[in-house]
Amino acid sequence: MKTVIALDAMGGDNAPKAVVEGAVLAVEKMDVAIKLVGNKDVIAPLLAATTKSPHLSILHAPEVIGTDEIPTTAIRHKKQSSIMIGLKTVKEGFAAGFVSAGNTGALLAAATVVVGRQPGIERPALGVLLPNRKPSGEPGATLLIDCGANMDCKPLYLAQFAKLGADYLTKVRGLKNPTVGLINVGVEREKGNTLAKEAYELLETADVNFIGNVEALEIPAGAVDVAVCDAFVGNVVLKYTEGFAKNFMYMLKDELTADVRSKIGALISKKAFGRMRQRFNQDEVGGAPFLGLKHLVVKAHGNSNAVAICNAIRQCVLFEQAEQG
Amino acid sequence: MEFEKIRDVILSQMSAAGGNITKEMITPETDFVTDLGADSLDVFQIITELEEVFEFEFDDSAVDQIRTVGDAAEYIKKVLES
Repeated sequence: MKTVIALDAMGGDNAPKAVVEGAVLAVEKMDVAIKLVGNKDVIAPLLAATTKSPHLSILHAPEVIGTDEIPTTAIRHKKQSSIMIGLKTVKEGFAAGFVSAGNTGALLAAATVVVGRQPGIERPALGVLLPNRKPSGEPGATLLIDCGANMDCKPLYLAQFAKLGADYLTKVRGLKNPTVGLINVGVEREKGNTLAKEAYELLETADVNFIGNVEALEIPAGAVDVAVCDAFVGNVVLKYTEGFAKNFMYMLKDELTADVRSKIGALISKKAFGRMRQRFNQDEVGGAPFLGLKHLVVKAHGNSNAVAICNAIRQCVLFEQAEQG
Repeated sequence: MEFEKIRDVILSQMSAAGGNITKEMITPETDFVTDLGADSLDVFQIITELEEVFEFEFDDSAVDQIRTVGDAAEYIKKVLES
């Protein structure tokens, strides 16, 4: 039986076109059926122009929550928005997960209210996989949590993020006893602000494989499997990584096309550079799951293109498969 | 009567969030933020649940003014009586 995913067709900078195209890609590549949630008058013509797949359907939601709207106000007044209707679809069991590239704050608040938190979890958090190079030289990934949901955190939240992140890696990626590090400005336990110091104490006794503080520069070196922080720090780390990776490739390209000898070298190494680009491409990751909710909700990047939307849907499918064992 | 319903909503929401809140801690003078440790998302969830329980939507301006349990009770009483 196909996995059914609800997709916010109206969320994101490139919606609805890129979202519809991403959905079309997903049904072509995966065993999935997608409910496009949004204004049917806008989505139907786009869909009709692209595909006749029976695995794509429209769930009408006449309202949209904009990226500049105050989340809590928007949710209270826009009960017929694509985010609210998509989340209700998941809560009522008509879809295994919900993907949205829309307003992060609104998605967090709405998901918390509509879908609900797992028992005892104070705050759901966004976890994203950052590419790393393990000490063995193999390509790997570190789960950065929280990378966008909770700007102001209590120490207990960070301890819970650690557990959520470790459980996610165990369940979805099959890691045994993943290591957890607390992002800090130094490795010594007395380093950092009050939040970091108090969180460190809680993490020492938490039910996770806590190995201490980790500096941001150690994340690409694969020092930990789960890197824990509040969303302010996490989002800065994430955005810097994305920006650096993109510009590093441009810098490399500049140098490789600077003279004839470099151009020849670049031509010979073209495939290797392509693989490198793919490892850093944010579209390949697609989205970040909100961990700590009763059901699966994935936040796709605000500027997601069709490929990124397709990969965010893939995350849902993988998660659902892991849930089913 | 309203106060008891409000207290139950607060207890249920704050317990779901992992807080150690007891009935005795919730009085009309109780401040959501300073006494219960609620943040904006907790308050939002409580207001949303109160809207469900009392079957009307809170005005945005009223939501901005609610600081204590008594503020919420007074506002609800005023709306129900009007």
